[in-house]
Amino acid sequence: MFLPLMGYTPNPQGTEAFLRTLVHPTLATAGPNLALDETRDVFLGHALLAVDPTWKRGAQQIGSCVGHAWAGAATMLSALDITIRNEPEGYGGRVLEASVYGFARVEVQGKKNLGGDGSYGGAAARGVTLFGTLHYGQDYGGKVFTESTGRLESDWGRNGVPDELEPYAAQHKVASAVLVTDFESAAAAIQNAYPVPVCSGQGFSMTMREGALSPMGHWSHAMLFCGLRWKPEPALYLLNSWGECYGGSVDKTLPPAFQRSGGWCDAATCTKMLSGEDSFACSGYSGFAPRKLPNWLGGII
Amino acid sequence: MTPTVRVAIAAGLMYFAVHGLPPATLETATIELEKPSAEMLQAVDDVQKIMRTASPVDRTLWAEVWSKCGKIISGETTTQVIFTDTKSLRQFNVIAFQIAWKRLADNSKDKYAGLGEATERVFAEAIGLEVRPVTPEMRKKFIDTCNALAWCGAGRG
Repeated sequence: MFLPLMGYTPNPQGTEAFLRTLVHPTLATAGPNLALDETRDVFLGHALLAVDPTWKRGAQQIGSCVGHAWAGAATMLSALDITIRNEPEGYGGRVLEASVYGFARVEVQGKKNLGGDGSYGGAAARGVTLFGTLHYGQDYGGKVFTESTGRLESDWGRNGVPDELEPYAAQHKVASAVLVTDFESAAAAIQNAYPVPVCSGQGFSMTMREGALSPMGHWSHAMLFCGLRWKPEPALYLLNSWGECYGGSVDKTLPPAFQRSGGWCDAATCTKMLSGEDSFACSGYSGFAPRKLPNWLGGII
Repeated sequence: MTPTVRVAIAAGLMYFAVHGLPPATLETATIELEKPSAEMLQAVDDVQKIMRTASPVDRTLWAEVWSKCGKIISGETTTQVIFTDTKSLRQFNVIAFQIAWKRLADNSKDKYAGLGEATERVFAEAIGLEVRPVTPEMRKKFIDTCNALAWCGAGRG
């Protein structure tokens, strides 16, 4: 049983302030040479399952969707750095959603936040690039987080991430987040292995048709674009944070962990969602030192 | 110089002009290897079987490269340490074989089926795949492994 919790609270001035800090605020200027191949499908979830085969999408318990979308993006980015970009890093586990949410609501704003739930894309972008991320399963001076709780997210969403944990988080930042405003830009980012957390007011039916989402109603919600396909029509895969929440018929070509936790969103709806100018492509994660060698000979012999 | 000596020298020069200089005798290089322990010979058995099918050139190259790898690592002292952890040892292997086996000898990855996998198994069993600091015991295992692999190429198993 899922709870359709949302928590996107747009703050155009806040996002604009973040964008002003960037030398290249948009994907068009940050990656002008990113080519879009209109024949190549990509699903970034494969990289995540390669480093974390037991991964399953969690379900948010409060209006912390921004934390879940961006934590998902950072986790996926870490996996992509290892598997696609062959960076000499190890996988450190899933990013703790509460850390992203807490930084976005409190540290980025510079003050406690007593105003209910919710956050926005620009705040999360600033949070993960400036303050970093914490992870499940890591030992932070005797403190280990093993499960996501609404209580923790509420606490850190009001009071911020405890100061003693901030040095740990600072070791694992997202290098950059640039604005993405249409389907083509998001598709180019994804094809180049950069996930795109999206904040919008677009809702969907909870019943899919062969894995495709039908736009319906209004959700003030953050989710994550992390796949691209061109047929039967151009679409991005949109990962939700309500667990395995969708009914109907699924896309059986997707790994089971992704079949009901998200679905394909058509290009026009993607552009509508991204045009709100609070969605970003993430790149460059400072991962963990590897704990295991992949091999001894690098596949040369 | 008497006319007889002149004639003798001229005859000698004519002989070399016709027949050429005698070929220089080059000593064949041999690789000095200590015989691996019975345990190490057992560990590299699969590699040895594959190397028996390799060309003489590749066998010599294989033996030379592993022998040199072992020698370089054995040059580590307490005051001159280059390879501090298993990551650096792995990187050393990768660079050595990238240069010698792949780029210079132009050997493809699948030239000898199963050779890569068999060699990986030898290292994984001897040292493991954990990232950890190099200890004197691990260094000795690495050197022993290199020498045993070289032994397979030298055809002395």
